[in-house]
Amino acid sequence: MDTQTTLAERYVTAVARSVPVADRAEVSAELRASIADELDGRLAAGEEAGPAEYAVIAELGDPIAYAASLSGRPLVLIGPRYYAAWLRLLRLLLIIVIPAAALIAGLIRAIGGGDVGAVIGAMIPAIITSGVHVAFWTTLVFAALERVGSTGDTVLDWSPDKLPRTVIPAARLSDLIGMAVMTVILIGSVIWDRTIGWGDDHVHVLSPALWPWAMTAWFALLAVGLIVEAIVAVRGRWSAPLAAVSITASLVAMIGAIMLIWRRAVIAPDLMARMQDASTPTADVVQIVNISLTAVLGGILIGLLFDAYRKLGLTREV
Amino acid sequence: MGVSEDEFDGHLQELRRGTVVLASLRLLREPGYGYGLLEQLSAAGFPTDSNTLYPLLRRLEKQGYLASEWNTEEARPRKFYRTSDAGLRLADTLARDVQAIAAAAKNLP
Repeated sequence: MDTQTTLAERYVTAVARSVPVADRAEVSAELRASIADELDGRLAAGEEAGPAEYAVIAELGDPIAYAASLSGRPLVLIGPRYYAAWLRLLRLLLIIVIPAAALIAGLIRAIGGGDVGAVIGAMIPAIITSGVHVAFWTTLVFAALERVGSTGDTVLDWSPDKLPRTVIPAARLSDLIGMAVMTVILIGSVIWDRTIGWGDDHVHVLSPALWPWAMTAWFALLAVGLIVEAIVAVRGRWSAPLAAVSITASLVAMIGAIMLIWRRAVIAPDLMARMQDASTPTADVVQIVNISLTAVLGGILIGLLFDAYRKLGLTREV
Repeated sequence: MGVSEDEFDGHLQELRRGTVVLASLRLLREPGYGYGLLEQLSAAGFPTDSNTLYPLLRRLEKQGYLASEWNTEEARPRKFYRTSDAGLRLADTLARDVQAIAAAAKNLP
């Protein structure tokens, strides 16, 4: 008999754990009474105690699902409202963040004097860690959005007046969120670089001479990009002038950065000296780093131009 | 419930969902508790699963169509539900609609 009481009590506990604290005592008491009533009903019908209790619990089903239907909470992490936006932003961030993290990790290891194996060895954990972080935080934000405000009945509150003026609202919103997240990450990492530095040795990668003017100019260009994206999200479509502003901002930022790299004004003097020390007559580390950085920035620029072209294409389809 | 063929179960469930609300609101004019109502519903021709009914009662209570009170006089304390005035009005509306639907269904080709 002991194990039978335990089964019902275990179920009540499992449900209680998944309902809001304020409802816990009442839900437990009511469920306990209901299970006991149902069990009595089955026993009166001639069922055996053990199988009867098992059947009562089985009919109630998964305790988490049952608790969710009691409190009217969604049974999905990210529902149809946000799924498309979540998937799009996640893909975009993974494509950008993972290669960038791998590159930075590999570069730092290479400058520190590692062979190919060590460089790859430094890149693999960077890929895994950055991928997990991006996936986790993006999902967390959208799961929270799913649970904010009214749950369940939102579809009923809808009217055609609430149609966003955007063509693909989810896409526009995720563009804006993606851009905002990236801008925050970029500005955060350069400030981190200036103040704290990277790794145990607190290495500063960027030259302090870039502050304040070059950095201010760059922040301003990032802000321009973000404002354009916000205007597009509100108006719901790209226009040629907006695309031109966005492309110009990208061009100025990237070309400016590449010019500063070749003037050797971007990388901090300390790090520059260490790279020169690590150089051999056949391999100039500074040269290799400059070429790699130029290639990366050029790649990002081509990506941005392609993106702007694609967005202009979207306006024509409408 | 076992009378129906399995392949129709999903559709039948969907059709009956709203009628359980109607039946519960009418039956609870006399105060009743979860399991008792489950039996009454079954006897009245509205067989319902326990994991459908209990959340439904809770929702109707939150919406103000049911009032509740704990009865602790017996050995087993139970939460008793009773249909509120708003619940009675809802039941009347639902009943009219069910009849209209049944009439309309009869006229279908």
